[in-house]
Amino acid sequence: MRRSPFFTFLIIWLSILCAALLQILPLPPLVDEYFRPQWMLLTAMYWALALPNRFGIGSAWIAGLILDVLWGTTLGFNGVMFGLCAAFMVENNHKLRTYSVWHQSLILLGLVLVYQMLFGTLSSWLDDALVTNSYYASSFITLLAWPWIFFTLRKVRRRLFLS
Amino acid sequence: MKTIFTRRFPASVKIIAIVVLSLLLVLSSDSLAPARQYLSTFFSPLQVIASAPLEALDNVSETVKSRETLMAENQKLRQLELSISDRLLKLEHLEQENSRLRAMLGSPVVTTQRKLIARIQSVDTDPFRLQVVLNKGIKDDVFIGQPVVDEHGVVGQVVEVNEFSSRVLLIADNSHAIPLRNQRNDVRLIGLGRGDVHQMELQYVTKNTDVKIGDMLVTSGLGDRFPEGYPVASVTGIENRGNEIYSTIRIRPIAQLDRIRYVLLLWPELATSDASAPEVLSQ
Repeated sequence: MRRSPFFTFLIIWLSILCAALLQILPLPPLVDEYFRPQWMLLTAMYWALALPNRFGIGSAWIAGLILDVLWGTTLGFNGVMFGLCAAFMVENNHKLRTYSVWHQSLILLGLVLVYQMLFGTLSSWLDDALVTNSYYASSFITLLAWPWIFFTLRKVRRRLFLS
Repeated sequence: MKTIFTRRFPASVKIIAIVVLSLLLVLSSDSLAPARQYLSTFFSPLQVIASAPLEALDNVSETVKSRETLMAENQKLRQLELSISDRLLKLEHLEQENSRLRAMLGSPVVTTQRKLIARIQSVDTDPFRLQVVLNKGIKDDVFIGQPVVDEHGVVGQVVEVNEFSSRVLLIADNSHAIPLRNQRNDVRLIGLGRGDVHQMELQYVTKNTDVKIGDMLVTSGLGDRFPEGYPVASVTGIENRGNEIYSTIRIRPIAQLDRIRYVLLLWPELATSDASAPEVLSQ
């Protein structure tokens, strides 16, 4: 069964919006600090991995801008970081797809750490932000979040015959 | 059928493009405020949905409160109201007298003629910013730079506004500074946020300045942003290091910045001769 590109586009952005919702959902401070995965980044990375011709660097940039608007960050910080992360996923697409999910989540953990470091650096240089070490602790939940996101979105992709 | 290999631009071109575009966005972030306003209006339903579960939970806990609890609460509030209205009577008299005297001196005082109660929308924000989202926006005349207080003291100022909600930067944020006055001796100071809701700092206070632990600091009204006289913080620690000119002074915000739920938006205005009683609009 062949779906129109528009349908694929719609489902991808719907999943991005769901991730945005999870990203800004209020949680108790402790959970918020250590156990909130980077939902939007990971969802965008899934689509950059699975359908790089539908969701590439430019789309990831737009997803990052949406997060900037929702977070109240200077417009462009998350945008550029999402775009660069997506570039990594798209460029190493063929290699990454052959890895097991656990291997992938280790790589994604590295990617999230790099994202957080560069985002923190950008914010403290240009925005006078105060970056604490506990901020980086939150990246380790990626190890659990990535398999979950991967299997959920793969199910969505296969059920709806997205390509 | 499109394949992976039909890319219009190579990745390197795209990467350079997004980096340049993002740089332009960051550099022109001030002039992009209107565009940002529309974008955040567009995405504000997400914020409403995200904060809905917690608000529903709040409502539930409100409805299942027992009759005794409500009665006790009611009684306490009545007593509080009585004591407050007593103080208010005196205050109004003093305020009128003060504004008459000020008028004689030719330096009218800035008062707030309009206030509005707003509720904090519980949504997550930038990990490095101390900011909250309010459920009032342009449709309620909220503007950028507007002072926000709660029942104890100053909370912060509005930094971003869209049709239905607004974003408030708390006074304890790392990028925030607020002009202050020591209530005891009128010394002017600057309160600097340090990214910690329980602690702020006073900047550039020489060692011989008269500041003591326990001093109450109020807004000085300088800077034309916060109206004069609202309590902000109390001094909790003074440290003098041997060879430095300035002493390190720690202050503690009066407003409970980590557990605010309702705040008051203020519309400061220059006092006119026929000062009417400030009206409080309920939400």
